Amino acid sequence: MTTTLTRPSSSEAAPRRAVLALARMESARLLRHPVTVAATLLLAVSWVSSWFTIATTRYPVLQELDRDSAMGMMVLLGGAALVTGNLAVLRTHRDGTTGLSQVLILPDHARTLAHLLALLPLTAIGAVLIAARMALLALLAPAAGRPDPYELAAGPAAVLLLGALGVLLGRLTRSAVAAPLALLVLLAALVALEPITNGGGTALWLAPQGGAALEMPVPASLMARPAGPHLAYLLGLAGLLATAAVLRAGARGARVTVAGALALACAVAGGTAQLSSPGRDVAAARASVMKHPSQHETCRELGNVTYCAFEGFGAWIPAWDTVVRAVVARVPAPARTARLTVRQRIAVPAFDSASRPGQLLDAWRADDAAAGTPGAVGVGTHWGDGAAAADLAAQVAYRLVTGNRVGDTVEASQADRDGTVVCGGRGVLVAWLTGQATPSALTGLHHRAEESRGERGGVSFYETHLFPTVHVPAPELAIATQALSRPHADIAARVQQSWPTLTAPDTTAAQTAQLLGVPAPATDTACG
Amino acid sequence: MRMRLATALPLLRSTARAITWWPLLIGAALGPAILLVPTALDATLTATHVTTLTRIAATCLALGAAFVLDDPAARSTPTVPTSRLARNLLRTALAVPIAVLSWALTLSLASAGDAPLAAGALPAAALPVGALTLEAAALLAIALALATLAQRRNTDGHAGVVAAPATLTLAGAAWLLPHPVALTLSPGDPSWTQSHHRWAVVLAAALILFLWSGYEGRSRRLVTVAIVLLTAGTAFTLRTDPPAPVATPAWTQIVPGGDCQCADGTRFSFWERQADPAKVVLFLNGGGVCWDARMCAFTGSGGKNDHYNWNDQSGERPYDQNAGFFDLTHPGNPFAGYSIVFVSSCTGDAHLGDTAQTYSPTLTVQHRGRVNGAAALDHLASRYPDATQVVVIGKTAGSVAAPLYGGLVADRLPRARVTVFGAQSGAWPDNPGFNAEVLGTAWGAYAAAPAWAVDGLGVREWGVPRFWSQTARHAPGVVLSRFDYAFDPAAAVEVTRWMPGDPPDLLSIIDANEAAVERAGATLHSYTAPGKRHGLFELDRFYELEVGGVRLTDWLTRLVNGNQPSDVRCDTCDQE
Repeated sequence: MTTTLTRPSSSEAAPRRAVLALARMESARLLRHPVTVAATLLLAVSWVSSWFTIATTRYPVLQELDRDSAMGMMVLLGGAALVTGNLAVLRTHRDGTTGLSQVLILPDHARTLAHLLALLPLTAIGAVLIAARMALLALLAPAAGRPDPYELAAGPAAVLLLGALGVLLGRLTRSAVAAPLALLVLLAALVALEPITNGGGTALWLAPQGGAALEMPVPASLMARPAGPHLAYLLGLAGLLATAAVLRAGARGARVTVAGALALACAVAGGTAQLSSPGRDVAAARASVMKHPSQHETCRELGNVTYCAFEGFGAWIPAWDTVVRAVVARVPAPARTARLTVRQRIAVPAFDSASRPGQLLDAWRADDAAAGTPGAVGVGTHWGDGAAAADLAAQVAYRLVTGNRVGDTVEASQADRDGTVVCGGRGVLVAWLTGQATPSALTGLHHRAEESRGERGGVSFYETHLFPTVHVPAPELAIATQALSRPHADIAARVQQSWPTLTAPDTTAAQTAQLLGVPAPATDTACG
Repeated sequence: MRMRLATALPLLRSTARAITWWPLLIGAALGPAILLVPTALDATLTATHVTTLTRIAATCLALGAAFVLDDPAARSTPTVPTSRLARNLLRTALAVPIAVLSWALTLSLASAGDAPLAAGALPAAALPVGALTLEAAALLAIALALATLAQRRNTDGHAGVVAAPATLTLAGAAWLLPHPVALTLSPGDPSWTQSHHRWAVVLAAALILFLWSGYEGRSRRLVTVAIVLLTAGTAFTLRTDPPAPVATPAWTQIVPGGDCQCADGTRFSFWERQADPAKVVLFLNGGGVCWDARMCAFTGSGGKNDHYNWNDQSGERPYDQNAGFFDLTHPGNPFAGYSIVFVSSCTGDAHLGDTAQTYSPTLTVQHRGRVNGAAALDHLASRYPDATQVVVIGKTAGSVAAPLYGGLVADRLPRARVTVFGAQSGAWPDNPGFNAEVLGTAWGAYAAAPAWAVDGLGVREWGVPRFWSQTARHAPGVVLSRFDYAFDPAAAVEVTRWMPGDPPDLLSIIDANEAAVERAGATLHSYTAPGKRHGLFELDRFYELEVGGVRLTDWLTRLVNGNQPSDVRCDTCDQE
């Protein structure tokens, strides 16, 4: 008796249920694979630990963290998908069962399709993780702004893309070293593409990670990142790689052609759309928000202080107020300036390449004058770390101690580069008021002093990240540090008592040390 | 052991043939390629970028090496007389040369930052080669250890397929370790050294794992030996770690006020770094020169035009520079412990002038370099009255006036040993026209010079080489020295038209100037390097420069210590 074995021909299309069953089994193996488990845990641990180790995570800017989260997901979960997807395809070769699989019901290309489909649950897990992170941050922290859903979706899309790359590599070469090495090449591109392309430019969007981040967070309406087209581009690329993998495995026919054409169209359309630079209205809005912040802000009065924040950043005002209040509280009532304004500002040179930094300072001064808040104290779009708190506290202290506005006494070009030097008693007071404001500001004072140590010594405080506005030289800082280590009430009382003397312009550092009852430093000041 | 060795040699060939070489070769080639691309594209990478890329290259190599222990015939080997450990060691020994070659190539590409001196580009900081090699060795050992572990677990001989992803996962975990236990830090991080103690421990642990899991027998002798070796190795690594950097004193800006000013009449300042009160460097920075309405115009941005710096915002700040002479933590820096007074030039007159020169109805230039320099000199003399060692260093245009300032320091601090090191102005000509037009008229330098400097010389005779001989005559105790690149294209470009020859032969002018100085009775120690380079103090080349077997920093150390070093001169000066 003879049995006739009829193998289903590839054109007949393998039973859909068999493909799905295989995909289910493969996806379970993929999710259980130690590499996937480790990568998922690493991603989760890195996100959770950032809450404790990176101070600014407590005041998250969601339109920045969306990209950040997607990048982390691309590297860790995407890397896992690349490696495990590849290992799954190579399993039959490794086990020496390639020949055996030839007689199974599913032809090679259908098995490849199942391997590709097996990536979807991991992608879904990625989507859940990234959405959960955003939701938790928005709920638990005074978050600023809003995430871009397309930017978030780029994370899971990258998982799909890298997984498809892994499957394709498994179809191209039997060596298991190819996929891990491909991941390393992608990582090298992640590191080096930005400097190689000289800070990015739009061409960087062609890389999976997308364009470079701005120097500092900006209001969501100014981001204008082509995240949607980039997502289409990533999905298109994933589709192209998947099509290549099934083609390589022997699939032919109209459906493959259609899928390939769709993916190509998607990749090309997304790829070209993402390269167009933001429209003229966005550019105008960017320049306007940067140069005339007062026209785009909502202000809120707390006590004697007006706080003006960009849209979405209002949740930070109570935190700013804590720092400002702690500085103002140490100043005798008569010396408190009638009105104090704290104004949020952004300084992104790329937003207005025509003007120099000095011109931006002039524009801000004009903007303040026009808004009726001359001499407003600037605050940036980072918050939560010590440096930001110290910068704000020091600028407020400078206003209160000198009555000057930052930049009043020196010509703008000099303030650009080194900031206003605050000498003698005034300098000591500025540093002391800063350090005593909050524990975070004290950390920030030490941090800023550490930054200046290798340079000119003392401590420089910044308005946004571009402009050092106030500089306290080393001897003044040394006295303030001494004073900060003494009992707070004692020093505070001495400051109240001797305020007029301490804030007089000709009071020297040595006299200040005497008034505060701390030893005078050996070196005399650099102030002329 | 002897028997093992006897069996090992014949086994080498067959093992070499049995190894699956492709993964290792691809990994070994990919590593250098990752560094090659940015280097070839001339990208300006920071030290952190280069370090990260080097680490990625090391991981590539480790992943390739994970496959070296793959043995498709594994099922048949438990019965062979050679132990698994011996076979693994043999395979590793065969792979090591490739790994070493690839790593050496990676490192040489990574540290090739200094080769072309692009205008304005800062050279990449020196790559911590030793520390990165330790990291690479640890990664390699982890890959091999995981492969041996896989050998124990499965019998089909596929070790790499387990070890490579596992290595990658561990590397990812290492990347994310938080600060107190961090492994992958940036080179400047204060915990860099401690993190490499941890790397050394990782390496030791991986090697022990490699030996233990490859070991099948009962005798513990080999394992004991290995552990002893490893402990010794770890101890050695810890011992040879460079000492933690000493906290560098900070730079202080000093605004002297008074008559001091920059070319446009605005504030002048100089910088001080207080360290050893007995040893001081007076650093006369360059900053360009000018002597007509075109060169001196207050154009350009940031206080400088193409020819010179015209106000205090321009020019280098000492704290902005962290390489070469300004890397004051560098173990090879002869001036590491010195106090430094850094005088920048913002007057276009090489620290010499004292006049207000009206070049056009709209352009009056304050050539007050001599006044500014005098303020810095006053500061130095009053702040360091007990200095025993003062080194006056002149950089490019700043070196023109260096001997005169050496003489002035000797007047103010008679007990100090004064050394002058002027770099890159050896080709400035002694031309009566230049002397009268520029030094005499435009800058008013002749009138402003101390009496001894112009003693017996008319304005047309008072040329730059005379500065040296007059100083030697006035203060014979001052040690005089100069440095030049033979064909420095930038050092004397402004004064070319007063030089003989068209184009002038720079080296022969340098030689003639030196001969003239020495004929006039001065001893001028000289160091002439070959080639057409320009930068020195701002580059790490300061430490690397070596001519005729004499390293510049050694020569300088001997010079400032009072041991008169003999002149160093390139043999083939037109080749670098």
